[in-house]
Amino acid sequence: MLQNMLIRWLVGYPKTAFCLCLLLVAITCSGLSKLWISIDYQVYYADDDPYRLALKNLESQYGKTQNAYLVIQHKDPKANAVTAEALQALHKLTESAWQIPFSQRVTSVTNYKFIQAKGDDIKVAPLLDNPSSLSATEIETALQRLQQEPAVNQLLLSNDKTMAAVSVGLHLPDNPIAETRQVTSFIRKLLADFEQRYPQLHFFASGSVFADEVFAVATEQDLLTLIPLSYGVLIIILVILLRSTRAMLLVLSIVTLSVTIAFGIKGWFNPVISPVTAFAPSMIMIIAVADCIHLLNGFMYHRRQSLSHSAAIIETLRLTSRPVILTSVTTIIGFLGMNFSSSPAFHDLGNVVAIGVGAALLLALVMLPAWLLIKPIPVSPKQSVVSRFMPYLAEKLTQHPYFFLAASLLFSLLLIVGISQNKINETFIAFFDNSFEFRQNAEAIDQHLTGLHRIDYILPAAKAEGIFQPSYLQSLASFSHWLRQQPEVAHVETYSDIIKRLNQALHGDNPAKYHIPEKAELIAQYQLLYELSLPYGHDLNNRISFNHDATRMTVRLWLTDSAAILAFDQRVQRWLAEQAPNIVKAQQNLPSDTQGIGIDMMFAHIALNNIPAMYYGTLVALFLISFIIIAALRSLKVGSLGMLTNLLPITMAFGLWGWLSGQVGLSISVVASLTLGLVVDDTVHLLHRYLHARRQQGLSPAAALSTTLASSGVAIVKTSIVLAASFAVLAASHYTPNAQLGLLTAITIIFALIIDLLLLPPLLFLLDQRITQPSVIKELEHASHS
Amino acid sequence: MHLIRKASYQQAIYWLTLSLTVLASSLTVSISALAATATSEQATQALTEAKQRGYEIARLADMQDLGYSDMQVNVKMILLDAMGRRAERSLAVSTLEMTKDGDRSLTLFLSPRDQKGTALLTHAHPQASDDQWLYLPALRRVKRITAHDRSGPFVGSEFAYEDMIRQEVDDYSYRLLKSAQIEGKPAWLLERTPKDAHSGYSKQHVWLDKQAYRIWRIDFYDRKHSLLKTLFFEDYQQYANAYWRPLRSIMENHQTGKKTILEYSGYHFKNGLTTTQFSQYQLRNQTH
Repeated sequence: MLQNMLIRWLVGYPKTAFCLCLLLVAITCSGLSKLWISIDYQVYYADDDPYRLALKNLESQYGKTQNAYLVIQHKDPKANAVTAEALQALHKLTESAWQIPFSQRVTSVTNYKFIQAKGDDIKVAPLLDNPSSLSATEIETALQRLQQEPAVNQLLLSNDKTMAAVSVGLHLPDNPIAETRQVTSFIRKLLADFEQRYPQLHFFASGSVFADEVFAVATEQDLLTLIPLSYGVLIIILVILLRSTRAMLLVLSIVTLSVTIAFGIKGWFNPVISPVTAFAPSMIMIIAVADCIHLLNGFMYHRRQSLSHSAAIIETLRLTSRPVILTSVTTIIGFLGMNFSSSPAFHDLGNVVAIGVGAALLLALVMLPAWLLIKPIPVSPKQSVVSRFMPYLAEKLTQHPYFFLAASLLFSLLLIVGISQNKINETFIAFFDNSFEFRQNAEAIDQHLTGLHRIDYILPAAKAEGIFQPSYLQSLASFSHWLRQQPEVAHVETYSDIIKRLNQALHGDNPAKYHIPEKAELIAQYQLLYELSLPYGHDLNNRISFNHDATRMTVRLWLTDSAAILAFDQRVQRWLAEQAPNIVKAQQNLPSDTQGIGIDMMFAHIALNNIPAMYYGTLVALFLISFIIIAALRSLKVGSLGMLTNLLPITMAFGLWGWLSGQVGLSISVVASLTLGLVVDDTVHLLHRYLHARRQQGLSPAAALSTTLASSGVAIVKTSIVLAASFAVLAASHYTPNAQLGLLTAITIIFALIIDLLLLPPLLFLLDQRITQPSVIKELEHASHS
Repeated sequence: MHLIRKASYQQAIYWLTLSLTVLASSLTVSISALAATATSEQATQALTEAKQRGYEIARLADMQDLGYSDMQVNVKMILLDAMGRRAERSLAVSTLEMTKDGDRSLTLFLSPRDQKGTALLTHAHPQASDDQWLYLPALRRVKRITAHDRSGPFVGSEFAYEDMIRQEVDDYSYRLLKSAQIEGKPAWLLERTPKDAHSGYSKQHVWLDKQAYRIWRIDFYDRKHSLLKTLFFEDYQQYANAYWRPLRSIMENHQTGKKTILEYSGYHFKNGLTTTQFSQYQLRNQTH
């Protein structure tokens, strides 16, 4: 009743309805101005994420872990990067690096504080402070001595001397949006200037600020390329499907306004745009288009049945609004299911898209018909190819139901086997394809100099001042020794190396004395001697806690994936438990965990934690959607049949993914939840139409199937093509997680179409004919009574 | 004919306007250039004056301490980080006034336990690098530290060694920025720039009161001219009827959120200390 009243009001006052919609858009879009793009990887983590807290705790004690890494290489990659000229450049670059905004520490071979002792004179000074004044042999000796320093080799100077680096520790404020860009653009300018001054040398940079920046660049690229691309694809497909430019423009406006409303509302509640949210406009557009197509398809169908213009609209709204509302609700539930993700960035994506789907529903049901009433569009009388193909398919399906059933089941089984190939894994560097400078630099550095991944271990001593205990330092020394033997490890920085080096220097530089002294007092006093000699930006505050109860060990790993990082960390835990029980015991008294700390650890854990979280999220969404569908179709059996066929395409897609890639990362882990609401739509339309034909029209199963495919089947094929093609466009993103998300979603939608056309109809047909006929008839009677 | 006349009339107006504009703008440029030279000359003069005044004030401040001969004080150092963790060290510091050279100072470490008895002797030199020796009781030896740079943090605190000791006037060049108010007192605001190229600071802003030339606040700027730290002095007391000393000084690091508090107690002046107590050869015996 209510529905009829609303339709009558809409037909009576289309201009008012239209203006009300515009007013809504105007109100919400005021939130747009609040939006900003966050380049902080922290958007991926909840505030109480234990790994995030551990990093915060570490940074409060040892200083921020952000860094920049400036590298010098000869243009001829085999040539030495420490020639007299290159050293001069390095020296100048080191000096200039102090001018980088937010820099706190600057180290390179030219300012590395080398410990020397001559009798009772202690000198802690750079060996290559003024490289131009040194002879070739002096440089050679200095380099030889420097390369024996564990803190230099494979970090500031590569083993083969083809790359030298300036390591810059930065201290950026929290939420560094503008600051990161300020640092990276300063460095780019600096390096460009050096490239000009030293044409034989090649200068490039890496480090955490560049990693942060590349996320922002990827987000902007996606916003700038994917949205126009999505529009392009939509325009082409819409023109083909609707065969009317005006209808196409109408749909595009509705779609754009839906995105505007969603982001306007987002601006009021959560104005941060992360790389993941950058994906939302495309998604909303795609889903909104599907709604519009269903409505326009119905409208054109009725117009072709030679109904009058307004009668066709009334009829369309009467028949199509129910399934459109139903499918929108299921889609919204599917996207809201993303709130189960352990990453807030995906909550945000889910919520924005859910709002967008709601907005699209409203606009499609009110604005679209209102506009059609104000300014009618012409309808081509020709039927599309799809429409002509459907009766043929229906005939074949009813003739050989077993064949289709068996063939599609076999096909899906083959794919599903691939699920076992999937592993939870994420390769950070592969987030960015080769078009990113960041990836090229990181890989070049990884090949010659040192690894990109950094893991920190805080190793506490039993009590305050405990780090001076020889037993503690022995544990540190053997731990770092073991670490250096691990194949993943590129570099280890530890306090015990400094103490060993001091002991050697104070014993006439005797290499035999490169070990930990026997007395705590001696160690403490050596350290004091060393600390008093250190200038600004070279202190030990980033290595030892100020009450001397813990030290920090920094391990750099060669480029690898999250599974390898987690496996490495577990091996480390095992080694510590066996070989350094005193440290592990002291760790148990601390609030923080014993595990590795850092952004790389956070990344490694988030995919791992997200999968179970999304698994529950998807289950809850599935349960809710099933409930709604069963209630809406008023048939437990048909409803649950529909749900089963919806799980199949998702499982098949993950099976295919197993054969294709096998790496399930953070973004792939949300695909099931994301597609659930979408693939359900097709089934809902099909089943709705089928039951309508059986109940209201009283058709036989075969005839009902034929009508269903001829009407809803056509719409399903159209929307699936739109959805799959548009999601496939997202695969063009240079940011791999978004590209994979788009690709796998497109695959899932295609599989859903195949299942809905080839498996569901024969199954429905067979069950209806043989088993459920009495019950359907009972339902029929029940429905007609109510 | 009429048309041509009209055109030439318009052209004339056009040329007239153009030439007037050119004339006017060239006049403006030359006048402003003249004005600029005048102001830049004035500015140079003002700068020289500010530099002289600054140097005078610094010298006057230094003179306030003239004749203190020697001083002893106990220092409790409290280190705090942004999360509220805390560590303590304690030191005993003696300084000896030198007339022809920079002052000498002896810092004795009382805690942490493993560093107890370690003694740091510094001979400051106004024009050259300071000399420093450290006595290590565990080794029973005196080691000479020949680093040319004292800008690193002192025992993990927010103080650099150079922030803790009395500064030589000639370690810096000065500029008087303005008269200001500090702690409700009329004060000078000086800018001082370290002469040592290895210093961790590009400049410091120093507030000292006009009454007794006591320093109340110093802002430290790092090498890239960003504000790094602020040092506050609190509770000035006068000793030996002449010398003002604070009971607390607080160093806040604006970049890391860390903080170090120095609490001074037991100031003693004119204890009759001599260069013998501040000799590197006696360092071993001083600490017992």
